[in-house]
Amino acid sequence: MVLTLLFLVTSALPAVAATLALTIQPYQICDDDGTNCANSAKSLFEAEGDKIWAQAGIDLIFLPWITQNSSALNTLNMDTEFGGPAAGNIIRMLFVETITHCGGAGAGIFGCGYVDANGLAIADNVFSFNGGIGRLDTIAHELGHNLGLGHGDFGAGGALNLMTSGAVRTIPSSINDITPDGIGTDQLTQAQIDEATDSGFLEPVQEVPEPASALLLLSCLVPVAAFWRRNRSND
Amino acid sequence: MSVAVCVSVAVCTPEDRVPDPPAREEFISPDKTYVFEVSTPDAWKTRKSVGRLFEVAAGNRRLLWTRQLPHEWRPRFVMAGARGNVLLIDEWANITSRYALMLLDRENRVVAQHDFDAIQKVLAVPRAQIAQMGRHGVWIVKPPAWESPGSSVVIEAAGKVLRVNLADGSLSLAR
Repeated sequence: MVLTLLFLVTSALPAVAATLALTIQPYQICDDDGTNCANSAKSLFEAEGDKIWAQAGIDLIFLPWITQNSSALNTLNMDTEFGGPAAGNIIRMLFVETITHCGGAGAGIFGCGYVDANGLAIADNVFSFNGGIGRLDTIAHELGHNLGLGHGDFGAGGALNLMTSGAVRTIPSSINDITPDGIGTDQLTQAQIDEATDSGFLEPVQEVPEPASALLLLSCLVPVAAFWRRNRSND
Repeated sequence: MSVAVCVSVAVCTPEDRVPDPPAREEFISPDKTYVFEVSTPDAWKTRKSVGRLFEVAAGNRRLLWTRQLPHEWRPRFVMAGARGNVLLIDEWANITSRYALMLLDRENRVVAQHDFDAIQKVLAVPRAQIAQMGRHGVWIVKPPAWESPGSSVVIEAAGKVLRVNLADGSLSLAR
Protein backbone atom coordinates (compact mmCIF):
# COMPACT_ATOMS: atom_id res chain seq x y z
CA MET A 1 0.00 0.00 0.00
CA VAL A 2 2.72 2.43 1.03
CA LEU A 3 4.90 1.46 -1.92
CA THR A 4 1.97 1.88 -4.29
CA LEU A 5 1.31 5.35 -2.91
CA LEU A 6 4.98 6.27 -3.19
CA PHE A 7 5.04 5.07 -6.81
CA LEU A 8 1.96 7.09 -7.67
CA VAL A 9 3.40 10.20 -6.08
CA THR A 10 6.84 9.98 -7.67
CA SER A 11 5.60 8.97 -11.11
CA ALA A 12 3.41 12.07 -11.21
CA LEU A 13 6.42 14.37 -10.84
CA PRO A 14 7.75 16.06 -13.95
CA ALA A 15 10.63 14.12 -15.50
CA VAL A 16 14.08 15.59 -14.96
CA ALA A 17 15.25 16.31 -18.49
CA ALA A 18 18.65 14.98 -19.42
CA THR A 19 20.61 17.58 -21.39
CA LEU A 20 24.01 17.75 -23.03
CA ALA A 21 26.69 20.20 -22.03
CA LEU A 22 29.38 21.75 -24.19
CA THR A 23 32.19 23.25 -22.14
CA ILE A 24 34.10 26.15 -23.63
CA GLN A 25 37.28 27.91 -22.56
CA PRO A 26 37.30 31.51 -23.79
CA TYR A 27 40.67 33.19 -24.35
CA GLN A 28 41.00 36.96 -24.66
CA ILE A 29 44.00 37.60 -26.89
CA CYS A 30 46.01 40.82 -26.48
CA ASP A 31 49.15 42.14 -28.15
CA ASP A 32 52.53 41.12 -26.75
CA ASP A 33 52.62 44.21 -24.51
CA GLY A 34 49.13 43.55 -23.11
CA THR A 35 47.39 46.23 -25.17
CA ASN A 36 44.74 45.95 -27.91
CA CYS A 37 42.91 43.18 -26.14
CA ALA A 38 40.20 41.63 -28.26
CA ASN A 39 36.57 41.56 -27.10
CA SER A 40 37.18 44.23 -24.47
CA ALA A 41 33.63 43.81 -23.12
CA LYS A 42 34.18 40.05 -22.83
CA SER A 43 30.88 39.44 -24.51
CA LEU A 44 29.91 35.83 -25.20
CA PHE A 45 26.33 36.20 -26.46
CA GLU A 46 25.63 33.34 -24.08
CA ALA A 47 21.86 33.84 -23.86
CA GLU A 48 21.61 33.82 -27.66
CA GLY A 49 23.87 30.76 -27.94
CA ASP A 50 21.93 28.87 -25.29
CA LYS A 51 18.64 29.66 -27.01
CA ILE A 52 19.98 28.46 -30.36
CA TRP A 53 21.52 25.25 -29.04
CA ALA A 54 18.52 24.48 -26.81
CA GLN A 55 17.01 23.13 -30.04
CA ALA A 56 19.44 20.23 -29.66
CA GLY A 57 19.21 20.04 -25.86
CA ILE A 58 22.74 21.43 -25.58
CA ASP A 59 23.75 23.84 -22.84
CA LEU A 60 26.83 26.04 -23.40
CA ILE A 61 29.04 26.26 -20.34
CA PHE A 62 31.74 28.94 -20.42
CA LEU A 63 34.73 28.62 -18.09
CA PRO A 64 36.31 31.75 -16.54
CA TRP A 65 38.27 33.88 -19.00
CA ILE A 66 41.97 33.41 -19.68
CA THR A 67 43.92 36.36 -21.06
CA GLN A 68 46.88 35.61 -23.29
CA ASN A 69 49.34 38.11 -24.76
CA SER A 70 50.30 37.28 -28.33
CA SER A 71 50.42 39.79 -31.16
CA ALA A 72 50.70 36.94 -33.64
CA LEU A 73 47.44 35.37 -32.46
CA ASN A 74 45.71 38.75 -32.32
CA THR A 75 45.88 38.99 -36.14
CA LEU A 76 45.18 35.33 -36.53
CA ASN A 77 46.07 33.12 -39.45
CA MET A 78 43.78 30.26 -38.47
CA ASP A 79 45.43 27.95 -40.97
CA THR A 80 48.92 28.16 -39.48
CA GLU A 81 48.95 30.03 -36.16
CA PHE A 82 46.08 28.49 -34.20
CA GLY A 83 48.11 25.31 -33.85
CA GLY A 84 45.55 22.98 -35.35
CA PRO A 85 42.65 21.34 -33.56
CA ALA A 86 43.11 21.29 -29.81
CA ALA A 87 43.09 18.16 -27.65
CA GLY A 88 40.46 17.35 -25.03
CA ASN A 89 36.76 17.93 -24.70
CA ILE A 90 36.87 21.58 -23.61
CA ILE A 91 36.43 23.77 -26.67
CA ARG A 92 39.26 26.27 -27.21
CA MET A 93 37.67 29.59 -28.22
CA LEU A 94 40.01 32.46 -29.11
CA PHE A 95 38.81 36.05 -29.26
CA VAL A 96 41.17 37.99 -31.53
CA GLU A 97 41.33 41.41 -33.15
CA THR A 98 41.22 40.10 -36.72
CA ILE A 99 41.30 36.81 -38.59
CA THR A 100 43.44 37.06 -41.72
CA HIS A 101 43.22 33.49 -42.98
CA CYS A 102 40.54 30.85 -42.64
CA GLY A 103 40.81 28.11 -45.21
CA GLY A 104 42.32 30.87 -47.35
CA ALA A 105 43.21 34.54 -47.13
CA GLY A 106 40.55 37.17 -46.82
CA ALA A 107 39.34 40.32 -45.12
CA GLY A 108 36.17 40.72 -43.12
CA ILE A 109 36.15 37.26 -41.58
CA PHE A 110 33.91 37.19 -38.49
CA GLY A 111 34.68 33.70 -37.22
CA CYS A 112 36.44 30.50 -38.10
CA GLY A 113 36.09 27.01 -36.67
CA TYR A 114 37.37 23.51 -37.31
CA VAL A 115 34.75 21.05 -38.50
CA ASP A 116 34.28 18.04 -36.23
CA ALA A 117 37.38 19.12 -34.30
CA ASN A 118 38.24 21.32 -31.35
CA GLY A 119 38.95 25.03 -31.83
CA LEU A 120 37.49 28.24 -33.12
CA ALA A 121 38.26 31.93 -33.31
CA ILE A 122 36.04 34.98 -33.17
CA ALA A 123 37.15 38.37 -34.55
CA ASP A 124 36.33 41.77 -33.06
CA ASN A 125 34.20 42.78 -36.05
CA VAL A 126 31.53 40.44 -34.62
CA PHE A 127 30.89 43.03 -31.91
CA SER A 128 30.72 46.12 -34.14
CA PHE A 129 28.33 44.45 -36.59
CA ASN A 130 24.81 45.82 -37.09
CA GLY A 131 25.54 49.20 -35.57
CA GLY A 132 27.11 47.66 -32.47
CA ILE A 133 24.33 45.17 -31.74
CA GLY A 134 26.73 42.45 -32.79
CA ARG A 135 26.64 39.41 -34.99
CA LEU A 136 24.69 37.52 -32.38
CA ASP A 137 24.95 34.00 -33.82
CA THR A 138 28.57 33.73 -34.99
CA ILE A 139 29.75 32.04 -31.79
CA ALA A 140 26.92 29.50 -31.99
CA HIS A 141 27.66 29.03 -35.71
CA GLU A 142 31.36 28.28 -35.15
CA LEU A 143 30.51 25.89 -32.31
CA GLY A 144 28.30 24.12 -34.83
CA HIS A 145 31.38 23.52 -36.97
CA ASN A 146 33.20 22.01 -33.99
CA LEU A 147 30.20 19.72 -33.49
CA GLY A 148 30.54 18.40 -37.04
CA LEU A 149 28.27 20.66 -39.08
CA GLY A 150 29.24 22.36 -42.35
CA HIS A 151 27.72 25.16 -44.41
CA GLY A 152 25.88 22.95 -46.85
CA ASP A 153 25.28 19.58 -45.22
CA PHE A 154 22.58 18.07 -43.00
CA GLY A 155 20.01 20.45 -44.45
CA ALA A 156 21.89 23.75 -44.11
CA GLY A 157 21.66 26.32 -46.89
CA GLY A 158 18.53 28.31 -46.15
CA ALA A 159 18.74 31.86 -44.84
CA LEU A 160 17.16 30.90 -41.53
CA ASN A 161 19.49 27.97 -40.75
CA LEU A 162 22.27 28.45 -38.18
CA MET A 163 24.93 26.74 -40.27
CA THR A 164 24.33 28.47 -43.60
CA SER A 165 27.28 30.53 -44.82
CA GLY A 166 27.51 34.18 -43.84
CA ALA A 167 26.74 35.34 -47.37
CA VAL A 168 23.21 33.98 -47.16
CA ARG A 169 22.34 33.55 -43.47
CA THR A 170 19.95 36.02 -41.83
CA ILE A 171 21.47 37.41 -38.65
CA PRO A 172 19.15 38.16 -35.70
CA SER A 173 19.09 41.73 -34.44
CA SER A 174 17.90 40.55 -31.04
CA ILE A 175 17.34 37.33 -29.10
CA ASN A 176 13.63 37.80 -29.84
CA ASP A 177 14.20 36.94 -33.52
CA ILE A 178 15.94 33.61 -32.78
CA THR A 179 13.81 30.52 -33.39
CA PRO A 180 11.16 29.69 -32.26
CA ASP A 181 10.36 33.40 -31.92
CA GLY A 182 10.17 36.40 -34.26
CA ILE A 183 11.52 35.88 -37.76
CA GLY A 184 12.89 32.50 -36.67
CA THR A 185 16.62 32.72 -37.36
CA ASP A 186 19.24 30.08 -36.56
CA GLN A 187 17.12 26.99 -36.99
CA LEU A 188 18.59 23.50 -36.87
CA THR A 189 17.29 20.56 -38.90
CA GLN A 190 16.73 17.19 -37.24
CA ALA A 191 19.71 15.85 -39.23
CA GLN A 192 21.90 18.64 -37.83
CA ILE A 193 20.67 17.93 -34.31
CA ASP A 194 21.38 14.22 -34.74
CA GLU A 195 24.89 14.93 -36.03
CA ALA A 196 25.73 17.56 -33.40
CA THR A 197 24.45 15.54 -30.46
CA ASP A 198 26.62 12.62 -31.62
CA SER A 199 29.75 14.70 -31.00
CA GLY A 200 32.33 13.45 -28.53
CA PHE A 201 32.70 16.99 -27.17
CA LEU A 202 29.35 16.76 -25.42
CA GLU A 203 28.78 15.36 -21.98
CA PRO A 204 25.44 14.35 -20.53
CA VAL A 205 24.40 16.40 -17.55
CA GLN A 206 21.74 15.64 -15.01
CA GLU A 207 19.75 18.72 -14.22
CA VAL A 208 19.54 19.62 -10.57
CA PRO A 209 15.85 19.65 -9.59
CA GLU A 210 14.56 23.18 -9.23
CA PRO A 211 13.51 24.31 -5.73
CA ALA A 212 9.86 24.21 -6.75
CA SER A 213 10.20 20.59 -7.86
CA ALA A 214 11.99 19.66 -4.64
CA LEU A 215 9.27 21.31 -2.55
CA LEU A 216 6.62 19.47 -4.54
CA LEU A 217 8.39 16.18 -3.89
CA LEU A 218 8.70 17.01 -0.18
CA SER A 219 5.05 18.00 0.09
CA CYS A 220 4.10 14.64 -1.39
CA LEU A 221 6.48 12.54 0.66
CA VAL A 222 5.52 14.02 4.04
CA PRO A 223 1.92 12.74 3.94
CA VAL A 224 3.18 9.38 2.67
CA ALA A 225 5.60 9.15 5.56
CA ALA A 226 2.86 10.17 8.00
CA PHE A 227 0.54 7.57 6.50
CA TRP A 228 3.26 4.94 6.77
CA ARG A 229 3.99 5.85 10.42
CA ARG A 230 0.33 5.77 11.35
CA ASN A 231 -0.11 2.38 9.71
CA ARG A 232 3.00 1.12 11.46
CA SER A 233 1.82 2.32 14.87
CA ASN A 234 -1.52 0.65 14.22
CA ASP A 235 0.18 -2.72 13.59
CA MET B 1 29.73 10.12 -37.58
CA SER B 2 29.77 11.56 -41.06
CA VAL B 3 32.35 14.11 -42.13
CA ALA B 4 31.21 17.47 -43.44
CA VAL B 5 32.21 18.34 -46.99
CA CYS B 6 35.00 20.89 -46.93
CA VAL B 7 37.68 22.10 -49.30
CA SER B 8 40.97 22.45 -47.46
CA VAL B 9 44.49 21.13 -47.68
CA ALA B 10 44.94 20.23 -44.04
CA VAL B 11 42.00 20.80 -41.75
CA CYS B 12 38.60 22.11 -42.59
CA THR B 13 38.08 25.70 -41.44
CA PRO B 14 34.98 27.27 -42.98
CA GLU B 15 34.64 30.93 -42.17
CA ASP B 16 31.71 33.18 -41.29
CA ARG B 17 32.10 35.97 -43.82
CA VAL B 18 29.90 38.24 -45.94
CA PRO B 19 31.21 38.97 -49.44
CA ASP B 20 31.89 42.67 -49.92
CA PRO B 21 29.72 44.69 -52.32
CA PRO B 22 31.26 46.32 -55.40
CA ALA B 23 33.67 49.09 -54.39
CA ARG B 24 31.65 51.62 -56.42
CA GLU B 25 28.27 51.54 -58.12
CA GLU B 26 26.08 54.12 -59.84
CA PHE B 27 22.32 54.36 -59.95
CA ILE B 28 20.76 56.55 -62.64
CA SER B 29 17.29 58.12 -62.56
CA PRO B 30 14.88 57.05 -65.34
CA ASP B 31 15.18 60.42 -67.10
CA LYS B 32 18.98 60.31 -66.64
CA THR B 33 19.09 63.70 -64.91
CA TYR B 34 20.39 62.37 -61.59
CA VAL B 35 23.12 59.87 -60.71
CA PHE B 36 23.58 58.48 -57.22
CA GLU B 37 26.96 56.92 -56.54
CA VAL B 38 27.69 54.57 -53.62
CA SER B 39 31.31 53.78 -52.85
CA THR B 40 33.60 52.65 -50.08
CA PRO B 41 36.30 55.03 -48.87
CA ASP B 42 38.43 52.25 -47.35
CA ALA B 43 37.88 49.03 -49.31
CA TRP B 44 35.03 48.14 -46.88
CA LYS B 45 37.38 48.01 -43.90
CA THR B 46 34.85 49.96 -41.82
CA ARG B 47 31.81 48.43 -43.57
CA LYS B 48 30.55 51.95 -44.26
CA SER B 49 29.83 53.67 -47.56
CA VAL B 50 29.55 57.18 -48.93
CA GLY B 51 26.68 58.38 -51.13
CA ARG B 52 27.04 61.17 -53.68
CA LEU B 53 24.22 62.72 -55.67
CA PHE B 54 25.05 64.27 -59.04
CA GLU B 55 22.89 66.32 -61.37
CA VAL B 56 23.51 65.75 -65.05
CA ALA B 57 23.08 68.59 -67.54
CA ALA B 58 24.48 68.80 -71.06
CA GLY B 59 26.53 65.72 -70.40
CA ASN B 60 28.26 67.25 -67.37
CA ARG B 61 27.93 66.07 -63.79
CA ARG B 62 27.54 68.52 -60.93
CA LEU B 63 27.93 67.24 -57.37
CA LEU B 64 24.89 68.19 -55.27
CA TRP B 65 25.83 66.55 -52.00
CA THR B 66 27.84 63.87 -50.21
CA ARG B 67 27.00 61.94 -47.06
CA GLN B 68 28.14 58.87 -45.19
CA LEU B 69 25.40 56.26 -45.24
CA PRO B 70 24.38 54.56 -41.98
CA HIS B 71 23.92 51.12 -43.53
CA GLU B 72 26.05 48.06 -42.79
CA TRP B 73 28.30 48.07 -45.87
CA ARG B 74 25.71 49.90 -48.03
CA PRO B 75 22.06 49.78 -49.12
CA ARG B 76 21.09 46.58 -50.90
CA PHE B 77 19.19 48.43 -53.66
CA VAL B 78 19.00 52.09 -54.69
CA MET B 79 16.40 53.86 -56.84
CA ALA B 80 17.19 57.42 -57.98
CA GLY B 81 14.03 59.43 -58.70
CA ALA B 82 13.12 62.09 -61.22
CA ARG B 83 13.35 65.03 -58.79
CA GLY B 84 16.64 64.03 -57.22
CA ASN B 85 15.00 61.94 -54.54
CA VAL B 86 16.96 58.79 -53.67
CA LEU B 87 15.38 55.70 -52.15
CA LEU B 88 17.81 53.47 -50.24
CA ILE B 89 16.39 49.99 -49.81
CA ASP B 90 17.44 47.49 -47.12
CA GLU B 91 21.06 46.82 -46.11
CA TRP B 92 23.78 44.65 -47.62
CA ALA B 93 23.87 42.69 -44.35
CA ASN B 94 21.04 40.19 -43.90
CA ILE B 95 19.41 41.78 -40.87
CA THR B 96 16.07 43.19 -39.82
CA SER B 97 17.26 46.65 -40.68
CA ARG B 98 16.60 49.99 -39.04
CA TYR B 99 17.10 51.35 -42.56
CA ALA B 100 14.75 49.03 -44.43
CA LEU B 101 13.68 52.08 -46.44
CA MET B 102 15.31 55.51 -46.36
CA LEU B 103 14.34 58.39 -48.62
CA LEU B 104 16.72 61.33 -49.18
CA ASP B 105 15.85 64.41 -51.18
CA ARG B 106 17.77 66.62 -53.60
CA GLU B 107 18.88 68.82 -50.68
CA ASN B 108 20.34 65.91 -48.69
CA ARG B 109 17.48 65.80 -46.18
CA VAL B 110 16.02 62.57 -44.80
CA VAL B 111 12.42 62.69 -46.00
CA ALA B 112 11.37 59.35 -44.51
CA GLN B 113 12.88 56.35 -42.78
CA HIS B 114 11.16 53.02 -42.15
CA ASP B 115 12.53 50.07 -40.20
CA PHE B 116 11.64 46.41 -40.68
CA ASP B 117 8.81 46.68 -38.16
CA ALA B 118 7.19 49.46 -40.21
CA ILE B 119 7.39 47.27 -43.30
CA GLN B 120 5.75 44.42 -41.39
CA LYS B 121 2.99 46.72 -40.21
CA VAL B 122 2.06 47.65 -43.78
CA LEU B 123 2.37 44.08 -45.05
CA ALA B 124 0.28 42.91 -42.07
CA VAL B 125 1.74 39.39 -41.97
CA PRO B 126 3.77 37.66 -39.25
CA ARG B 127 7.50 38.40 -39.10
CA ALA B 128 8.34 34.73 -39.66
CA GLN B 129 6.29 34.64 -42.87
CA ILE B 130 8.13 37.65 -44.26
CA ALA B 131 11.51 36.09 -43.50
CA GLN B 132 10.55 32.69 -44.90
CA MET B 133 9.67 34.26 -48.26
CA GLY B 134 12.56 36.75 -48.43
CA ARG B 135 15.08 36.07 -51.19
CA HIS B 136 17.14 39.28 -51.18
CA GLY B 137 17.92 39.83 -47.52
CA VAL B 138 15.25 39.32 -44.90
CA TRP B 139 12.13 40.66 -46.59
CA ILE B 140 12.52 41.38 -50.31
CA VAL B 141 11.31 38.69 -52.71
CA LYS B 142 12.13 40.45 -55.99
CA PRO B 143 14.35 43.49 -56.68
CA PRO B 144 12.43 46.79 -56.65
CA ALA B 145 10.90 48.17 -59.84
CA TRP B 146 9.40 51.46 -60.99
CA GLU B 147 5.61 51.57 -60.83
CA SER B 148 5.59 55.11 -62.14
CA PRO B 149 9.10 55.87 -63.47
CA GLY B 150 10.85 58.31 -61.19
CA SER B 151 8.01 58.77 -58.73
CA SER B 152 6.88 55.49 -57.14
CA VAL B 153 8.60 52.16 -56.52
CA VAL B 154 7.08 48.73 -55.94
CA ILE B 155 8.75 45.97 -53.95
CA GLU B 156 7.46 42.40 -53.68
CA ALA B 157 7.49 40.99 -50.16
CA ALA B 158 5.61 38.21 -48.34
CA GLY B 159 3.30 37.58 -51.29
CA LYS B 160 2.29 41.23 -51.45
CA VAL B 161 3.53 44.31 -53.29
CA LEU B 162 4.65 47.30 -51.29
CA ARG B 163 4.44 50.76 -52.90
CA VAL B 164 6.80 53.57 -51.90
CA ASN B 165 5.89 57.11 -52.91
CA LEU B 166 9.10 59.00 -53.67
CA ALA B 167 7.50 62.38 -52.99
CA ASP B 168 7.03 61.78 -49.27
CA GLY B 169 8.23 58.23 -48.54
CA SER B 170 4.76 57.01 -47.63
CA LEU B 171 4.06 53.27 -47.83
CA SER B 172 0.98 51.48 -49.12
CA LEU B 173 0.03 48.15 -50.60
CA ALA B 174 -0.13 48.07 -54.39
CA ARG B 175 -1.70 44.61 -54.23
